[in-house]
Amino acid sequence: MDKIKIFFTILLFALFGFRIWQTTGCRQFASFYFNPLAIKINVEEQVSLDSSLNRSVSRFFHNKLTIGIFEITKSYMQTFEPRFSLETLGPLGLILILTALFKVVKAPNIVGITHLLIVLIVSVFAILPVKPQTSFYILAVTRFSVAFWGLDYFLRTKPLAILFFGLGFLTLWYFSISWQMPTICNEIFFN
Amino acid sequence: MKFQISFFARKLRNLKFPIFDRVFVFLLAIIILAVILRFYKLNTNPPGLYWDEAAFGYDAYSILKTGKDHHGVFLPLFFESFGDWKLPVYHYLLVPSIAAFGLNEFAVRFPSALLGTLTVLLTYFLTKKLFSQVPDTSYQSGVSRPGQQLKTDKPTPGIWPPKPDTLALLSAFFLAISPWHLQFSRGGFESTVGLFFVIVGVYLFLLGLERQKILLFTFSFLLLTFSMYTYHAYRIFTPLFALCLAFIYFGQIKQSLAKLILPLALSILLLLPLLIFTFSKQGKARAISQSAFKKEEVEVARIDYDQKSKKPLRSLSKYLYPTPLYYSYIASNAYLNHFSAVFLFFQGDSIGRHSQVDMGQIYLFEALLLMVSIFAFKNLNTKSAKLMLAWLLISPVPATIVTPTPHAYRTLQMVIPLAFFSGLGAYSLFSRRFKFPLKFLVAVAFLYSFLTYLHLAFIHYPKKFAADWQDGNRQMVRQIQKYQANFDKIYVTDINQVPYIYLLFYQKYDPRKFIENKGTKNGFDKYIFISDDIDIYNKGKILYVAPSWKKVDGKWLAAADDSTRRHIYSLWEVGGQN
Repeated sequence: MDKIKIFFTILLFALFGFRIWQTTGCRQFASFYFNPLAIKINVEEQVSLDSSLNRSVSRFFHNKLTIGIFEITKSYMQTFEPRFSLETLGPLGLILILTALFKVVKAPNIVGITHLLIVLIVSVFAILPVKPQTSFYILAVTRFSVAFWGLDYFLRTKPLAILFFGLGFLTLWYFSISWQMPTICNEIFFN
Repeated sequence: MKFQISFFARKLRNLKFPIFDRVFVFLLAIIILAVILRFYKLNTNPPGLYWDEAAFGYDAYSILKTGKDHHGVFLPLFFESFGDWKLPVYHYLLVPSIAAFGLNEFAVRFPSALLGTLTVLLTYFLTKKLFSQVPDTSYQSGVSRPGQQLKTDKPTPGIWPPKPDTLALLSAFFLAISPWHLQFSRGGFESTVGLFFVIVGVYLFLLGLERQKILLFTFSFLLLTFSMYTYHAYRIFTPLFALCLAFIYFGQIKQSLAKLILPLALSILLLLPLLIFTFSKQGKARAISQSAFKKEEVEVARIDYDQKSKKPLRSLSKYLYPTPLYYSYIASNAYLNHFSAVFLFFQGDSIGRHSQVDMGQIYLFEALLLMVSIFAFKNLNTKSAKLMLAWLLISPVPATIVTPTPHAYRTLQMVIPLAFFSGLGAYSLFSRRFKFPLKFLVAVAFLYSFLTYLHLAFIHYPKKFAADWQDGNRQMVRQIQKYQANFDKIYVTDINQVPYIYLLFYQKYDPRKFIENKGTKNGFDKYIFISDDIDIYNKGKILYVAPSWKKVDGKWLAAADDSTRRHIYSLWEVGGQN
């Protein structure tokens, strides 16, 4: 089984590597950067609809604190969009991530939880004024690493191993067909 | 005296009036809240009447008066609408509503609001049923009962399994205040009714399995069939969900097979007209026009690939773009869009009629509850939990084959499992697992989010989305009514597509007259509906209802503004001065 594990690990590395190589054609990476101006715009837009209302009441609902929390959380949560995850990890990677999550939730262990916490913390970088390309690679690499946690599940039985192989092929096809990666890249050329 | 009061109070309590049952009081409070949220200002918010609602209402009115729809078809099974065909249940539900309340906005929205409220009640009963059954020994012989605990090896200590009553109350509560469910309960939307039939159908099915009663199975299957006659999305969702039910409860179903055959046969028989319709030209029309699977798009994608890739890879396009595989790629993207955090918690459906847009389909604080529910879910591990998970995962399927996505209306079914998982998260959070400050923070976030929702729904929404609801048409008809006696011909701009339905609806125009005189969307009686570029100056003295921005050479009579005072139409007398 160890040989298979090594083989699957190499396969997974190859798939993720292929995806990373594809992004080299990206001329402009999509950004998750949180623009503080969004708070001001949102507050002003909402307050303008409360013209007939008491100003204090209006400010209770539309203020920089609550809208700020809303907008920052929105930017942060965008880094966990399922489509972004699918485009980054492919079907196999996404299933592996879910399996990994299931594994950690079912039997919580310090390493697994720390790893998940790292993913959560690292995602904060994406909303900071960091180069979009850098933040994408940070996000991608941390998620790739979590995916490896799910590998064990597919080593349990032969049918699951075959399924893994099938999903690997599907992922290769998916990476080829979704070469434009709209949630990752704003403009891309297939190298 | 004091003694007497306490004595009588004790006596009353012993009588077990539900009023003294805490669960009953909470449930009653939730239902009252659901009623208020669904019925308050129902006739004016949403503002205006969307043309589908107007058509529903007038068709039902026509059936009430003549037995025919406004196209003259006697008791139709499928109703011709604007560019598509509607399923019949909502139309027929409207007949008694319009008979009781008259032809107005409230009557058109009443069935949706009422059944939406009842869905909250049914959510309580369904959740309670799903999670209240205790494991029995039959499980060991391979036979299990609905909702029983499958995990028999080691009981989880502490709060698990959850108290069914509390979990059911929490689920019902989250559905009662769900912005997603409220949005569709407050409009004349068929999906709300379809969801009601599904939830009752599932409840009766589980009850049938428990009591082994053929009557319960019959009603269950009938209601599930009705859901498929209510809204197009349920033509896909209900059969898929029924398959899941069959798969999850296979053991019990095998035992009750004899009692299931007759109701199943009856359902299939009732579904035959729908099947025939689905594959007919009319049935396909809408699906084709909205289909996400278009051959041209595959071709465009292939060409784009060829153009932007370099030579050795270029030749691969014919292998990479086989049509079915490319369609599965589109469908998977559409499916995942429904689990997007932006859609669920921040922005909702981009169509103004389907969401508040300034917030998500559900509250932001529910994100935390849903996360907590993942941890709680592993302890549940029952067939019932699997059923809820399957419900959630199947719900977006109907929306994956059509555009646009994410689509809140076609995936309304998601609200039940989402309410359940929010309830489960809240139960887990508030059942001594977490520290007080976190609970307090969630409580404050909940209260603030709910108040903000009310503010957005009742202050912002009518102002911001009046145009989405085609507000201004009622005012247009009222203005026409003021002046029409002086004119033989009234020309109305069709810039807002189908103004004829509003003239029929708001004037309560006699449907018999409309059918007998062969009225159409282009004209009836003295009303003629014209496009903006038609010459109106050689038609003698006419009343012309023009778009607000159009300059007309005539005598200005009045303006028709919507409820936000936005100028929509102008009424002109044309040709009268010569």
